[in-house]
Amino acid sequence: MDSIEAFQRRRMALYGWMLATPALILLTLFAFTPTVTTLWQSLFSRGTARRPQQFIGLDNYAALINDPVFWQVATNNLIYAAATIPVSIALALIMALWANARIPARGVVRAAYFTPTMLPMIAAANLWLFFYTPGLGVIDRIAALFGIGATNWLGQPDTALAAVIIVTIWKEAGFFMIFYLAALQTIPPDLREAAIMEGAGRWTYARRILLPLLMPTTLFILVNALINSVKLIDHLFILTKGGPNNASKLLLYWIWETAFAYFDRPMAAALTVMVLIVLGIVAVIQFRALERRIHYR
Amino acid sequence: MSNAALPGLERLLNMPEAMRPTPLIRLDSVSKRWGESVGVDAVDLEIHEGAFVVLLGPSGCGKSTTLRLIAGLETPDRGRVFIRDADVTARAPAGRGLSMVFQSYALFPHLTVRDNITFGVRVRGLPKATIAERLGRAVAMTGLEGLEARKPSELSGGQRQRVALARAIVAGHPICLMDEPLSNLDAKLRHSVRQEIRALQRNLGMTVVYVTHDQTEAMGMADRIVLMDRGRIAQAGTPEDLYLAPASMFVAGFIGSPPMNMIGAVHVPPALRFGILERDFGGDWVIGVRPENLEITAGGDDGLPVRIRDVEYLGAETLVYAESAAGPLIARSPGPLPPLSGGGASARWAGTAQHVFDSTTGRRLEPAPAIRSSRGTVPIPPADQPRDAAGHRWCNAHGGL
Repeated sequence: MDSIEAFQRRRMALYGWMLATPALILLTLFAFTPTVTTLWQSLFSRGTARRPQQFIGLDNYAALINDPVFWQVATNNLIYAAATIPVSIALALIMALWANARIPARGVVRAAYFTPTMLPMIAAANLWLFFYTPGLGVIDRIAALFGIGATNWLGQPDTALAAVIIVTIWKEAGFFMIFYLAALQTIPPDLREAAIMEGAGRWTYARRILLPLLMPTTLFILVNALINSVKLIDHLFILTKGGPNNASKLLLYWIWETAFAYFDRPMAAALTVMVLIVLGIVAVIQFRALERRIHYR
Repeated sequence: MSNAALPGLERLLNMPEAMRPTPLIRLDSVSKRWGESVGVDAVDLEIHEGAFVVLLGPSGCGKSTTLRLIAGLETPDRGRVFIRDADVTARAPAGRGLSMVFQSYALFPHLTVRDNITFGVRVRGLPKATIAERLGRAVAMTGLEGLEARKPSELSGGQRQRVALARAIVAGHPICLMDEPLSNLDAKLRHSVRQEIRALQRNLGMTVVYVTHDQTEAMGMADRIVLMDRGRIAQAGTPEDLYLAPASMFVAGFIGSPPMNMIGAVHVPPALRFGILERDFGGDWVIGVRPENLEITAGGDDGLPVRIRDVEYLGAETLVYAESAAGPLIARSPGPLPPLSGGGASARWAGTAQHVFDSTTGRRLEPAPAIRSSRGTVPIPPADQPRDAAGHRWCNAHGGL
């Protein structure tokens, strides 16, 4: 009796481990090991031919905190996130509502909104380089019609970050729209009709019914947008290379620069660890705080 | 809001047309089409205050469209909609003073039962005390006490249906539109909810327009049935009108289960041609006989010869399935039958039980006898009433209630 039960339990445990194994192997190989290695790396000094690498504890972190460039890049990234996340989500929602309505050529409208997402970021950046080029670019050509002189949008510290932010929003809004569009199509039209019968106007319906029902999608998009605000830096390589004077430099770009341009691997590792910690904290807060207020069907 | 109890209805029924009060809802030759497909085609309809009117018909007959036209969720291509003598054709749904119960119930999934019920009154900005009082009453009436804080996903199908009803009650509108509200319930629940809806309607004196494809629901609940077919009204009248004097073969076939037996002219033996030979109907005609009026007996030479295929004993009644030269026939008789041999038998019926239809147009030929029913004598329109080119207007769509 007892041994059969124990055998059954062992067999279920074995099944469980067997089912989890592929994911465990992949995650260990490509996520856990690199994370631990990075953490370990960040505790060493930069090794050169004359001075071999040695254990220095948290000195790399201390150096970072005392580096004004770190604070500028962190601030840049905060501004970048604070601008791209809400604006791209709001735009995505508005575009989705528009593309979901009964309008002529709905397919064309949807495709047009989605096109930026299909372009590789590098291609999009090249496109925008043409828009931003001082004097010759589309923006300056249009400005010239109104008698406004040429502006070096990407070349001056005041506008470089904003220019980069606009490209990101342009790229992301269409992608997020697809999620909102899918969510909107799962909301039965009856609900809108019921609300109308009850005397709700368009605005009341949107605020009291539509937005609450879209909350799970919004959370999903919010997490994605947050990750992208750290991850999406391809366009910096084409547009500004983080300049001028670090004005448009973002954390991940700086990590790349530190690791592969300055060859300071341990410092790059320390930066990576800090980004990981911040992202982890933000993710936990997001799910804890928002999950309670979201209605999942 | 007048409380139209049954005696009131009876008085209305017996009133001459001109003396009747103006209808609460009136459709004046309303049409709606989508591209090629016809939704509703020149429908005239009058619905009087306090009535329980059922729009009945097969799927695609335009009954839901008619309801949505009254609600204002659709705008007619042609014709006008009146509510209390006011032309509301262009008015928004919220301004028409009606509430609606949807087939899916259309409850807001993220709101509690309480918030679902009071959604409309809160949007309309009614004072808090009024809302609380109305909520309490509606919840008590629909038996939802104790469930106010639940979400729709935590309710059973029947409870969700009650929430939809409560939402319609709380609005306090005199008219309630219901679009197949019972179709998502199981058969047993459907029966009891049917009676509850009827009781609610009587207690509140509401005018209900109710859409269904289920003839049992229609027969059991309606003061007045409007049977629709391909966007037009096939017949409108009391359940008795439709059952005892169907205006066309479509009505005869749709109302009643099992359906009416149809026997082509050539197959009707001389002994059963009651009064048909004397009057010249011209063309081809068909005799309709309800299963309960068809008598199948062994032997008998002057009846319609049949061969008994099967006998179904159902307790309260017995159904006899038979084959004849005129096609399959069904007879229904109360209680068990003495055993019938599978051999020769014949079917017959009484002259008063026959319905004569034109086999090409499908319309009723024989004027029906005045119907005696619990609701008094109801005049049935004569068969030779003028009709329009399409042959559909003979029905009593203007009768009112």
